[in-house]
Amino acid sequence: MKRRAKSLLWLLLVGACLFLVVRFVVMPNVVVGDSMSPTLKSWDLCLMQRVYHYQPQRGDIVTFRTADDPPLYFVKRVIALPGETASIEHGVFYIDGKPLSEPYTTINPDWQMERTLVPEGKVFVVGDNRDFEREVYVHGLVATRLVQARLLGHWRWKR
Amino acid sequence: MKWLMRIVVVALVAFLVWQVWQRVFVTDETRVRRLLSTMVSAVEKGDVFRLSDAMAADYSDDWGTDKSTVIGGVHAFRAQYDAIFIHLSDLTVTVEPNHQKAQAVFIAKIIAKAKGSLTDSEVRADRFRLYFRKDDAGWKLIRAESPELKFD
Repeated sequence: MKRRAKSLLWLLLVGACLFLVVRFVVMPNVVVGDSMSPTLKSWDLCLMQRVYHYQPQRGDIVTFRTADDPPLYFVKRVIALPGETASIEHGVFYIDGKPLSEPYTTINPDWQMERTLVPEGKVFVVGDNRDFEREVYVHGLVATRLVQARLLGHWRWKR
Repeated sequence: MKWLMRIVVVALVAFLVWQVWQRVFVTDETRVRRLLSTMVSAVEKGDVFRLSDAMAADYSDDWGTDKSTVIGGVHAFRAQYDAIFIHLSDLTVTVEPNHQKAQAVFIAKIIAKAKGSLTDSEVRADRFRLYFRKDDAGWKLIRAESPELKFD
C-alpha cells in the first residue's frame, strides 16, 4: 500500500514537472501547412522554446499569434530586425540595401516588394516556401510581443 | 403480423421521443453548431445542394458575393482538389435573447490536396464571423465576415 502510494506520488511529481516544462519552457508544436517548406513540412513535429521578451535575431524560426480574439498562430522566419529596411527584387530579399543570402530556400523571381521600414518593437517575417505568389501567405511586420516561441528542433514523420 | 405491428409501434415511439428530445432539450446553440458542421461537410464533399440549403436567399458577405456566387465558387474551388479538410477551432456561438438570430466566431483551417499530388497540401487559415437567422425551416446563414488579422 505504502509502495503504491509512493509510486503514485512519483508519477504525480513527474507529471507536474512535465506540465511546468511544457507550460513555461518548451512546447511541442505540429506544423500545419507548407508555408515553411522545405525547412518545415506539414505535420512536422517541432520543439519550440518559449520566449517572454523576444530579442529578435535574423534567421530565427518563430511562432507568433495574431492580436485577434480568438488568435491565429503562425510559424515563420524572421528576416528583418527593428530599424532595418526590407525589400524584394526579383525574389531576392534586400536588407538595408544589401542582398540577403538564404540557403534554406529557392528564389522566386516573381516576388517583388517595395522597401519597408521595420519599426521598433516589430520584426519582418516570411515563410521559406517561395513557390507560391507572395500574397498567398501571411508575411510582413509582426509585433515582437506577439512572438511566443523560437524553434529548437524538429522531427519529420515518415509519410 | 403481430411482430410487424410491434416494430411499427416501436419506430413510432422512437420517432416521437426523438422529436420531443429535439424540441425540448436541443438548444439553438447546438442547432447552429450542427448547421456549421453540415456546411463544413458540404464544402469538403462539394455538396452544393446541402450548402445551398443551409444558406438564406438574401445571403451577403464581406466580399460582396451573393448566395449563387458562393455556391458556384465552392463548386469551382472543390473541383481543383482531390481532397479538402476543414478544421474549425475556437468556435464560439452566441444566440440573441429573442432566439431569432445567432453569431458564430471561429478559425477555419483549410487543408487541401491538389489534384494528382500525393503529399503536397495547401493551407489557408482565417478567422470568420457568421450570422444566422431562424426562420420556419430552421437556422440559415445570412452573412459571413472575415475580419482582417491583427499583427500589432
